[in-house]
Amino acid sequence: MSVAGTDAIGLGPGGGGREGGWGEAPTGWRAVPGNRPVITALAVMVLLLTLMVPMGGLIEGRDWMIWFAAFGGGVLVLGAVLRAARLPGWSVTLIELLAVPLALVASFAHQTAWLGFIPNGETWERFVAMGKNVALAIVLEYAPLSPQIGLSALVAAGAALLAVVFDWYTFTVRAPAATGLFATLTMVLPVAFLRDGVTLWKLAVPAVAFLLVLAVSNPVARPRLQVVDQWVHGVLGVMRAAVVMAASVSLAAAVAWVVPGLTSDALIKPGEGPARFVSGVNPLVELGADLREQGSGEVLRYTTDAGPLYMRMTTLAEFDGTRWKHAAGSTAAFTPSVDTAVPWVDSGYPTPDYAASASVKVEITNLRATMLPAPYLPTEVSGATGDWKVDGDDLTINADLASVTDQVYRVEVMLPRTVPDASAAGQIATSSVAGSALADADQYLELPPDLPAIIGQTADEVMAEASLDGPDASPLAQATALQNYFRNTDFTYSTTTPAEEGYDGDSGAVVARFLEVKSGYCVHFAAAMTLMARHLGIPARIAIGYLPGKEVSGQSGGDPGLVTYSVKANQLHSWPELYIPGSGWVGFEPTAARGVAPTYAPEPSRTAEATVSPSPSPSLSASPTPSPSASASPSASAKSSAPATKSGAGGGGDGGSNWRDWLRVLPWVLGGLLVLGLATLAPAAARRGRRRRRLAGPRALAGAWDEARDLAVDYGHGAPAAETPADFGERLGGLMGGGEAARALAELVAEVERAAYTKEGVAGTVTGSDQRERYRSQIAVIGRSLALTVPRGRRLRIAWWPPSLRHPHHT
Amino acid sequence: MVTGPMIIDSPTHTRRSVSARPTAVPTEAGLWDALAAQAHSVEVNIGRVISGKPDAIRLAVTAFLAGGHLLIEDVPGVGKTMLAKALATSMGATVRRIQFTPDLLPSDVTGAPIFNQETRQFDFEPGPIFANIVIGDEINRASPRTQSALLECMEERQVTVEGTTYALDDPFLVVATQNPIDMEGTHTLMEAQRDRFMMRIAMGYPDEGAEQAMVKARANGEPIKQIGSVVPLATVRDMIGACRQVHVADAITAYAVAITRATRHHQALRLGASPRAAVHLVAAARAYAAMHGRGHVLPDDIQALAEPVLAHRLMAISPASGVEAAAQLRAIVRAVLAGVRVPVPLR
Repeated sequence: MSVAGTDAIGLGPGGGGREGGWGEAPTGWRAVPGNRPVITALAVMVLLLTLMVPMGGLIEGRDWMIWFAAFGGGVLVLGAVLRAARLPGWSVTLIELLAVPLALVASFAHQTAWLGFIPNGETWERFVAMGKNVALAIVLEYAPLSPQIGLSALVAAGAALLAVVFDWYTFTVRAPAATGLFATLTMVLPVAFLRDGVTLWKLAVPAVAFLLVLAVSNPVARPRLQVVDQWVHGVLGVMRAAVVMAASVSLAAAVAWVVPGLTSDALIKPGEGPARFVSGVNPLVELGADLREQGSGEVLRYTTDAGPLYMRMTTLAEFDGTRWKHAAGSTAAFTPSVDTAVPWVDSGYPTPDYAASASVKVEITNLRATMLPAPYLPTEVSGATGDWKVDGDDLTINADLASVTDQVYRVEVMLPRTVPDASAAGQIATSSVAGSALADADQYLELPPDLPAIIGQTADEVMAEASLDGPDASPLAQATALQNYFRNTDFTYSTTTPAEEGYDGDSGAVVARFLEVKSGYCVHFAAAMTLMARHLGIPARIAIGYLPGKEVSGQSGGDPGLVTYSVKANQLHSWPELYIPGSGWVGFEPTAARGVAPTYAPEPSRTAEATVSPSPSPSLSASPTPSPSASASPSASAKSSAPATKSGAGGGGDGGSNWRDWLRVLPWVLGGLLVLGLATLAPAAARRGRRRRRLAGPRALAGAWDEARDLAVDYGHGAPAAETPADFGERLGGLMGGGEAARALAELVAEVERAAYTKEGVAGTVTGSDQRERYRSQIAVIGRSLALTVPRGRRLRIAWWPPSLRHPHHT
Repeated sequence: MVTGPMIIDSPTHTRRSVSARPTAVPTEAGLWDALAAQAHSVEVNIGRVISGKPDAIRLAVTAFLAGGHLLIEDVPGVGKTMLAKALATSMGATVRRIQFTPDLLPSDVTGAPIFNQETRQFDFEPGPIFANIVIGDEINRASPRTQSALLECMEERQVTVEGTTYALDDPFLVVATQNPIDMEGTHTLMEAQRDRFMMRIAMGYPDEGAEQAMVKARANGEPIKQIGSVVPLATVRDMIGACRQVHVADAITAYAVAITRATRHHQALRLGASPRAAVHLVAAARAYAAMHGRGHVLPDDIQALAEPVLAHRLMAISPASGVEAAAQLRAIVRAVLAGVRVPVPLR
């Protein structure tokens, strides 16, 4: 009767013991679920590679894909080869883990390593430096991150690690479903870091690949949990699937929800203190967010006798209608510790006839960034450590292997010569510019085809009103007119209006909307003026950096001419730079509330708002760079405008921010759920792993005996230390109601007695694969039969948390 | 009725059947099987006169094959003497009986020199101790001096009278019986003397059916007369020798010693088991294993024999009286067993 019961309930597909997972060798190809190792390996490889689909957009360019595929695929191939050579599962993983660092060294630090792949102290330092840079980039930049060597190394290492985990779970643990969990965890990255989120189909690609893995690895034939009762097995399978499905579905749902709202602040907002700077494809919106959110802590201070200076960090010149991008141009390596001369200044860069020079000592007090703040036009930089690169188009200085944190450096700048004759502005164009024509002017004139008409119309109207619409109009006069247009009329400065009105950003549509609403912050002013200048044929770009800051009293250090200025986090700013023939790149300040207009573009009376300044002739009596007076406090004026807009937009903002807050927590909640799911399945997996280890190797008999006793403990029958093997076998045999399982146990007991107590057994015998296979099938049968000795609910609980896990029997 | 060896198809022990022996040497396996079959035939033969007491019978045979001595402690009339006699008869061994009384002298046991009128010399007249199986009935009624004379013979397997040493028969087994109910004028064996017995067993009352069978059997005359020898004495000597060859793994020795030592600091005991107890335990386990057709001792053998081998050597702190005293000590031995880990040395 009991035998019939066992057959009816216990043995499902593959339940005959030898056909089941336990009938196979513990390692090697045969260990692969479903006996389709090659196909399974390929499916896992496909899953790994498809993970690149949702990750696209995290890093610029395609290099990272090559590294990802090379390292991830390489590890899987290595694992396949080692397993084909019948190495034990743990050693395969070990070899993989050893090979990966060597490959990383050979790929990313071979210059420093002995023989090109043996790491040494120098290699370590290089990786530390790369790590710092990557960490900085991740914290500071927005996706897609600009490619750098450290990032490639990180991608390679991550892919390799993921591959090791996949390989281990699929072939050693024989739980291919676990790959899904790790794949899902990987997919959290793009969801969290990409501001536009990830479209569903991109997540669906790895999901399909995962289903492929499940399908070819044949879950039905997967090794049994210790409970091999079909019902419990099914429940656990459903649980596993449910965890994976829940994770995927909630991620997908989160993506669908989050696309408009979630910014990367959710995951990478740096703590309280440090200010940060933004770069990459689309920094301007974040710049707006920064202006709204950033505190007023000091980020840097500089000392000079040249008056207040704008500190430039980067420029944006490429515009496709929706986004501004830094124009990727030529760069030159720059190591101030070796040669302080800034590259390009003497060759290729359109340097006007600047006369005055000044020395600026910059001290970074609390800023983490990969761009070196410097006034325009830097000619020499001394004191800065690390490797940098200088952009040939705009002379901005970016980190190669460096960080600005805590740097103290001195920048020699060329200050523009005072333009002699204001009334003859038009003539300057042909005067004294070295390399007079801008070499690649086209990219600074490019306008997207779908640019809203209002931008060009407004520019034309402004020119018409200023009588500068003729073909002979001087670019400088036109530029000044544009600047005055923004400073004169009823434009108001507000960091919150655009967000509330729904036109936050920098796209053409946003600029158009800004021109209608006439309220925004520096991004809008700068973008609008840049686009309008381009419409008028003046090469233009957006500069990003810091306002000149406020003079610090008593910090002049003895020299009466030296003045120290303190720049705060909320003085982050953007402004247009226009190329004026004869003067080179000239900064303008259309944002009245933030900066102060350059003196060559005198500020008209703002109170007479109906009166548009007719002044077409700017007084070019001063320098052509913006030179805001130190007395004007930009932060104060920004503050003065902020309360006004805030009071107007009261409560609605709060609700929105709550919603956003909740969204920011979402990735963490999902991550927590995943961890929870993993933790739920972990005990059973650990128990299974223990069984597998025990039944492999030369001590398989001892392992089988321990396993049998642990099974008895699991199902509440106990295995007292004072019980003889024979008594144990007899007792459990009775509990199992005789039959196949009792016979299997009796056989096992007989082997144990022979090995432990007979003359021949004590002398020792070799455990061959035949024996191991027999033990495996014996244990499988015993486990199945013991499972049926407890009620169903308890069986499930035991499968989830095997009691023997905490105190395993050990012979 | 039936005389001569009985052919036994296969041993059907009341305890579970012996585990399979996968790769024992065939000849050796045959040896143990033959030994088990012969021992079983003896058990069956004895069972024909002692109904319903297979455990007591097996332990008696075990002690005999292990070369130990047996103390049977029980109330009168349950077949103590009958067991001893049947054991002797089954093996074709000589058996003599000594009824101990307070006035019995040591020379009444060992024998004494008798003056021979013809040769005008003192000839040694062997006492009842000269037999394969000596039944010492109600040993507790003898004087301590006589008791110790018997015990000396048991230990040394020889008798020295007037400077001459006489070897005792081989095999030699003393089956002493003792009445556990305290009675006037008895001298209960001291601990040191009890220690010389390999086992103490109790017969216990037969169950109702067995008792009826006993009564009926008497109708056909003395039952002991109806059984004969099933194993010749020479074979029994071989069997005893073979039992000494049974393999005892180091782990088994360690287990026996561990059990013995555990009795010495058991909280309910005033006196634990001696090192001799461990020696007896292993020796008995050898015979027990052989009787089950095995060439090696299992922890199960040790466990099965722990009670009869150890209990009578122990002294409880608060001893029970009468029959319960033995039961109390057996319970303590079981408790000790439950606290000692069974070694399973697997590599």
